[in-house]
Amino acid sequence: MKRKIIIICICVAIVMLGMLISRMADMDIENSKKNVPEKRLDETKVDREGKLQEALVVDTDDDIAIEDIDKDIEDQNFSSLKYAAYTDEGFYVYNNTTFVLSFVDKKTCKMVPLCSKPDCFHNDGNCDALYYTFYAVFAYDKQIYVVAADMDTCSICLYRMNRDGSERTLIKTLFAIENDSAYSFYLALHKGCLYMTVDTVDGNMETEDVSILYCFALGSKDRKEILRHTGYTASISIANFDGDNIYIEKFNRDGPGADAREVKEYYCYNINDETMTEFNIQEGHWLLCCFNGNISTGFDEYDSDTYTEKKYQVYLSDGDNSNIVYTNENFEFSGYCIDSSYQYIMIKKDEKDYLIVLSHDGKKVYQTEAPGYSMVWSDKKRVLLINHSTGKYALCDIKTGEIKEVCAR
Amino acid sequence: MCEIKRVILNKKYIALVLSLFAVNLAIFQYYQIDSLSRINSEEHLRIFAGELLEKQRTQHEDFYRKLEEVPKQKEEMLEISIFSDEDSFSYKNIMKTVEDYEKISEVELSEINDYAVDVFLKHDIMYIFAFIIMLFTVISFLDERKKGLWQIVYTCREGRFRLILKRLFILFVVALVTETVLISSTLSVSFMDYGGTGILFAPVQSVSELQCFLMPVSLFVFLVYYVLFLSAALAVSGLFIWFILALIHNINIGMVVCSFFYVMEFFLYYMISSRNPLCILKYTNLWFFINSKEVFTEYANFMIAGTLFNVREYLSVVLIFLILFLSVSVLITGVNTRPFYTPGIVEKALNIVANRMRKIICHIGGMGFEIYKLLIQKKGIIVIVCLLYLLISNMDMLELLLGNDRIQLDEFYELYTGEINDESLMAYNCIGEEINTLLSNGEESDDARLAMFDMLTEQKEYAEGLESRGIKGWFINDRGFDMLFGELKSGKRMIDGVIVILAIVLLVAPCYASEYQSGVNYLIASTKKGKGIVFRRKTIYSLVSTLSITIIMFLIQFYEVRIKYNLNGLDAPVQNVRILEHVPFDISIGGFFVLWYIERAMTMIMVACVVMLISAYIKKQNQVYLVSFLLAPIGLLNGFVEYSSAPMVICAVIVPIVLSGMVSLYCSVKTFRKWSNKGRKIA
Repeated sequence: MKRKIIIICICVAIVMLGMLISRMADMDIENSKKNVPEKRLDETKVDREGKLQEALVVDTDDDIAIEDIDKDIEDQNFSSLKYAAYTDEGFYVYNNTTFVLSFVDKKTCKMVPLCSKPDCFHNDGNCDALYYTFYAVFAYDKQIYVVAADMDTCSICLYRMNRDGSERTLIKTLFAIENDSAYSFYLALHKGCLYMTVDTVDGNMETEDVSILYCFALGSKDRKEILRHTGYTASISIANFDGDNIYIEKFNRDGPGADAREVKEYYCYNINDETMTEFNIQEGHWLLCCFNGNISTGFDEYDSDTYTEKKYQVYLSDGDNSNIVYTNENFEFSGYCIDSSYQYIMIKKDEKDYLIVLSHDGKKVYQTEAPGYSMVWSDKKRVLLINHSTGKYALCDIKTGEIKEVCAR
Repeated sequence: MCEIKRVILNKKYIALVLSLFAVNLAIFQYYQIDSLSRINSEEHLRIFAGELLEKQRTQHEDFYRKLEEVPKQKEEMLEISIFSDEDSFSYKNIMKTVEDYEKISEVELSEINDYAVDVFLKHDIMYIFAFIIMLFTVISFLDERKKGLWQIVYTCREGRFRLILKRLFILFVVALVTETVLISSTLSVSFMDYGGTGILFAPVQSVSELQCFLMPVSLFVFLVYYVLFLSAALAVSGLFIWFILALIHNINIGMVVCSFFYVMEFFLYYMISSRNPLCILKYTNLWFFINSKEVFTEYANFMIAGTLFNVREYLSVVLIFLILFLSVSVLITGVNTRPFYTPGIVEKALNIVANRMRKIICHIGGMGFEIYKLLIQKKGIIVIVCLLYLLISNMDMLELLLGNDRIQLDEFYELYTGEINDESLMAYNCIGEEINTLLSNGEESDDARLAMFDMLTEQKEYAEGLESRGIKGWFINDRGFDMLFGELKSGKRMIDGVIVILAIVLLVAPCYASEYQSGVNYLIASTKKGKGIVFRRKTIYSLVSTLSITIIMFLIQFYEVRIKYNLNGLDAPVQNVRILEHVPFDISIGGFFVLWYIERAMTMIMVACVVMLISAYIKKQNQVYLVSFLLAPIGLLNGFVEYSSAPMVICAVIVPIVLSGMVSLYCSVKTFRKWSNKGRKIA
């Protein structure tokens, strides 16, 4: 009898231990969901005619207007590259020459690999910072998330780790892959979900393509298809996240071939009630971003022979009125980046490189010279730049325009 | 003394141990054949030694550089905000690493040939042999149960506590002696092959594989520590198995429970990475204790409850604790487990179900009764359910993300899979012209488009090569077939094959052995239908169950590939699949597919027939299982991928079919003769 009791106790203990372990693994992901702020009110709902139902009064103080995002769990940084992420302590950047994820410390302006082993040379599989095939890094809910390929299992995986790179855990396996081909997709972490746009683009534009926007919930195995778009050169891109809304552009051509007319549609997807609302912008414009009801669009006249923008304008619209907030001409576009406060445009004009910073309310425009640099990331006060010829990173203070190189280890 | 004589100094045990030691050395030498053949002359030896020395020098330079860099890195890293939090893992890891490296900062490495030690450290199979010896030792502690003497031994004055103490002593001695002999014999042979015995007294870091062992000791001292550590790990394994077997009356069930624990530990070890917060489960792990060499060849720290531990230091303490804890557990369990067996709740419930089923089977005829006996009474149904669970849970259902080049290629093949004709050539040429036009205009073509065109060109040229051999060339996407037949999924096919064979053994082994063991074989054989018809029924059951689970395995593998890839073009000549270029038959891909699956099915049927034969001859179920499990490596042939020439293809496909057929037939005949006692001389 005693022996039976012992056996039963051991079996129960094993089962409970297993449940505890799996619960621990899920618990901190669940906790991040509890940090989701209450649903924002309808500040940014738009009807089909592009008119706002309610509009926020924009704060006109010197400092930036949009403050009440929860930057721990909301995606507030956008860039053509997702190879960097910011925290209060510094930036995380991926170097695709050394294949190492590094940390740029704000205080000391030094860059170090995200590996806490002082005896590591960061060139073998034991290094915590080494990723041979890397797609994105996010600073989310006080931890770092990385999307990278694992060529042992031939899959694209989402990892989570502490901000010092320790305790790396595989959270999800997203897709299987065949080899280390260059896959390009849009990725963003926002309020408990990883959003991923997968485009299957046919290079010759003769056949229809499919573009799909997925949502992977962090706390579960769910994968949801938010939007599927089929068409010639079909693609889905996300302009920005603003609270519970996602601003999406659907693009396609109305027929095969490069000469077919471009068709763009714009939608606002609400993540709470999962509704997709279409809205319109001015003809010939494209959506840059939409924050707090202010829709920023771009318009240009592009000379494809000389690759220059003959004219470039940024408009700001609150639904009723549309005003030009920035205009420039005869320059080459070399980069574009956006965050919750500013748009950043890198241009080349008169043989010089400039960084232009434009606030979303249109009230502030900064310009500074940034010779040989391109943008990687921004955190509303500084922009992280990289000089591709030297491989060095630099931080540019937005207000002073001062560019300071960071020291690599 | 008597116990030592009984357990260790008996012929079977000595034979086993000596043979394992010999096999270990034989396997070690086998793997040195290549290296030794390179140094078969003075000249080659000189070159080899030169290469080794050069490599060693580079590694020593890296080592000294590391010693210099580590303190500098510490200063730089601690300035960084994310590493400077004193409560964080990173800070503690940095401090601990620097502290450990300081211990060996004065070490002077010696340039003595370390190849012998390197090669010895890569020889992992000896740890498996040590585990097998320990397993046999533990099983022999329970001999009195098998021989029905447990009650007598238990009632003796020295039959409980003192006996267990003696056995504990034997276990520790066996662990120590086994590891000592295995390690010293292997290392001695290695030194005899490659020389360099002088390194025994050099700092341990002179061996390139041991540069992460941060203690300022000589290699000899390291080896002593190594032996003691591995002996402790082996003792823990033995104590754990003994504890489980002591707890559970039935040794067979006890072994199943132990296997369950080891399988669980195996998965934990491989699923949890060393960076995972739960890495303590990776290191305090029964599977890891079988071969814990990694503790010495890698330097790693981890944190528990805010305290940082080095893996080696942690395990050195934990092993002692585990030995004490398990020894006490074994003592208590051994003393308190009485040799009287009463069925538990589960068994009682199963008996009730069995009785109900027995009433039903009164209405079932002969074949149904055989199926009932083997599937229900012998728990075959549980085996099938577990097999299905294992196969299905391992299915790779992840959606495949294709690069743009592959997408474009797939789109081409959607339209033009088939014999290369004017239409498909025109489409191909259009793509080529489009790319050439862009390039000649100085524009860049899409990289993916170029890559896709290169792949198409490769396929086209290959098809043209086939045409020159008189085989029709096709445009065909052979990626899916590559996954089915080729190397990419061969590892998974091997694992599935082994699992299926283990299932076949568990399903088929009780066929005859259960009749012999229960003594009803005479009764059955004396009835009218007891020989030929019973044999037929058992054979049908074995073949049907084998074919069923084999087909399930095939379907799952096929489905996994089908959901990711199109398998169009099954009627193309098989040579159009590049890995099957050398197939010497005029057969379609679909036909080869069927042939390939027939070959694998025949192999499984052969295994089933062999198991039946073993079951008919050995007559004891446990022994049948043990012997039949040796057939498991045949499952690895599922992953066999060798189509490099026509003879190889014949060997890989046709020969196994013929051989399997012949072996199956022979085994079936022998089984029938054994069962029906044909040719037995009547006294």
